[in-house]
Amino acid sequence: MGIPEERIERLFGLAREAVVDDEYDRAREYVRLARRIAERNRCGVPREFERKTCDDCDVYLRPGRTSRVRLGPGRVVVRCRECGATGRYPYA
Amino acid sequence: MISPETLVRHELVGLPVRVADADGDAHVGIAGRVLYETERTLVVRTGSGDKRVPKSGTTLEFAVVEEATARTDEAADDGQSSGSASQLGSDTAGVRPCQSGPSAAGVSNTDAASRRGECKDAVYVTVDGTRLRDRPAERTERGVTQWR
Ligand SMILES: [Zn+2]
Repeated sequence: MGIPEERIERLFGLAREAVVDDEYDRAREYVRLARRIAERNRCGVPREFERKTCDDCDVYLRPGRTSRVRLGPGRVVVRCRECGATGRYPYA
Repeated sequence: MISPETLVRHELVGLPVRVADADGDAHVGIAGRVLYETERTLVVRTGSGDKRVPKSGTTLEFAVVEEATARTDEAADDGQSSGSASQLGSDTAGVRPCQSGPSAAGVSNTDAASRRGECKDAVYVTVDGTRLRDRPAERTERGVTQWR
């Protein structure tokens, strides 16, 4: 794992920590920086990162705090409580 | 993993830092965790508020910690948290009894150390702040970029 991936991993943890501290905008900064690193280095972000961050407002999605999680037919529906954007991913 | 060699290209946010020397007297001695990074400054969270420190003209002392998230207690208390929380907590707990190295004595004043809540045996790296002057996302590339 190279430095870009490690930086993304670190920022992901920090974003989570910021949401725990109720500093949502700080979490957004970290998520944005991680996404920027991913595109600069063409490495993408881990799947967990993709699923636990909001596509629209970049906040870290923490169930019960910044997100609402429901199960739909065949998929998990995650709605951002900050901006209302919805993400979905399948389950087996 | 951050090593002294890779620090200038690695993530600074979350690392405990101390301003060892600075052109402006007001900045010397600021210690805490890095909150944000901009092209020319770092924002450090200290016991007395968030302080913005310029990169140029400063000598910065970073403590290289395994996990950027230096909190085991809060993570454990936090029963509601998502799956990653417990995982994170156990990870950090594993790191906790890290091998005792020659920790630089007197490097951290007690107040800063307690604020950081990291283990005392971290490796300390001193960097000339001017070397960090680059856009936060692009600092990693240094020389070997895939872009023209
Ligand atoms: Zn959102």
